[in-house]
Amino acid sequence: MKRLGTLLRIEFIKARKRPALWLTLGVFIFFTVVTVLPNLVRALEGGGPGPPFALPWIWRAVLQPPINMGPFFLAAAMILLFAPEFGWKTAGQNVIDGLAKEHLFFGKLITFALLLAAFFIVPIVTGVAASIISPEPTGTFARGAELNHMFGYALALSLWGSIGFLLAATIRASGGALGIMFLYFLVENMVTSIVPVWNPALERHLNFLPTQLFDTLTRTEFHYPDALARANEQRAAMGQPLLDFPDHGAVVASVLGFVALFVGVSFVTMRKRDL
Amino acid sequence: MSDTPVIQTFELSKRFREVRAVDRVSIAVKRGQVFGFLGPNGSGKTTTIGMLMGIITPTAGSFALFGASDPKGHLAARARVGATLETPNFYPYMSGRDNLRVAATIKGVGNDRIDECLEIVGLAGRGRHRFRTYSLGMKQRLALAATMLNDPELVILDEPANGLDPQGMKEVRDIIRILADRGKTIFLSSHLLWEVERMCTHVAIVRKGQVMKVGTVAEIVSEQVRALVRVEDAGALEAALADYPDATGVQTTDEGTVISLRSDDLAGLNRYLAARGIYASHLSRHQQTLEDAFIELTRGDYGSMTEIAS
Repeated sequence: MKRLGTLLRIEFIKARKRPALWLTLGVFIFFTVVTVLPNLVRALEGGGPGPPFALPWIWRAVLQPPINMGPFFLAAAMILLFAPEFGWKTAGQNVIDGLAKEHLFFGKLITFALLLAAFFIVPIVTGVAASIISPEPTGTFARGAELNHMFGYALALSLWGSIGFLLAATIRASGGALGIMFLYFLVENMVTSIVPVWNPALERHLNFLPTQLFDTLTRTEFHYPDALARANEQRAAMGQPLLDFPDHGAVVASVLGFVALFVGVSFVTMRKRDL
Repeated sequence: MSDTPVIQTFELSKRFREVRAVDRVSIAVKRGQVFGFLGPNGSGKTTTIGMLMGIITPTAGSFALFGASDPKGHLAARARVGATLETPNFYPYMSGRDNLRVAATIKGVGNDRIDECLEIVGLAGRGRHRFRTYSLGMKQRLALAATMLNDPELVILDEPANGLDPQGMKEVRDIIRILADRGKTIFLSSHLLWEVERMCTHVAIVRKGQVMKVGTVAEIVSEQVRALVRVEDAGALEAALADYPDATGVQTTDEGTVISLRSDDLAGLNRYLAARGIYASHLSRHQQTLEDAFIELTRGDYGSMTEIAS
């Protein structure tokens, strides 16, 4: 317990004056507010034809692009906070000063958890605040579909945050780690669009790659039946294959599996490699 | 107080792929010693310290800190150590004081010690400034302040005078003296020999990862009798020495020719040279310095003393 307190204190001292943290979080908050603001203005001016801009319907509008890009912001923040510790050799100095490599790892895991909480709370607080300001009638906080949407967003945060964690622990340089992350993002999207052309049977499996999982977890159509029906109407009109709700159990298991794998590999890397 | 060495290594080794950075190093540092760990750049000094401090995993061998030889014991022992490795390693965006707060929190030391240590190293007025704005001398002094935070029994300093101007070196030397006077055990790695000769009680000389010699400074420098000879024709002198049975080595320096001898019979050497028509304008006993011993032991890295086969 004492060690946990020590890790929390040192991570707090390090993070509170870290410009990279405030910049990443600040840009995300800015995007969140800018996205919500037009809907709020519309609501203040009498509202539009869609569902009211108030709880619980508000979540569909809040957890949409670019706010749902929070997982990528979290991955970037994780890389920017963690990777430079190797270049500055402060990770090694922390160990020299008395931390075990495992302690150092758990300190960063705490930072990961706190950042995940921050990137989850920002849209939630923004949504609640917008709902309070909005004159439209407010209902319950969230229903099943909205809770699913929030849970999907939290899982996407965990998945991409753990990718950032892994890249920081293995690449050990923020520029290189960010570069590899974006390169992976591009390569995965290329692979998932090209491979099914050659072998359609593989498409089902490719949907379980991290970027595709992010899409599944945060896409409005996969959380709200009416959104799915509307999307399918459009797809049918365009002659495209229809979408279906994903197998939630398989998606959750895949995400948790990836998170465990990425965090586990980070742990082994931290223990094995010299600082 | 027990006689258990503060640091003891047993055939400690580290390999980086094909490179044997540290090769079966066995040393013992006892309480109260100021131990100089000398070697040319790339001789494995920092790697050895890195292994002692838990940031580099040895590929073979083992070590004990305060008698503890298992990882859990090492971790506990590190609470009694203050160490800095190579360059001062701090968070550039944080103030010197906040950097010390991180170290103090890890070491379980109160904030009052931070002010004391900043005062000792002369950084009390700059503690609130960002680390990245510090000069190299100030960074080194902050590193010394960090090592002192927990009032350690063992202070490990890796090249503490690296990049410092003469004034900065003197300041660092003074701080090390203060620590030594307080009875701390000091393990100092350096390639600045005069610095080590002035401060250390014991020395280990390493080359290409291997310990070449270990002992007190007096033991390292006084084992061999040497003569300093000045003659008109140094070439003739070297040629004549090839047949002199007492000579084991010869080295030409700016001062003259230094001859290593098996005995201290300088008169016999003078007679031998005179008999061959070589008359010395100067012949004296030459006190070997730590630098001489170092260069001899690390020959190949620096060149110099030529062996005489006899």
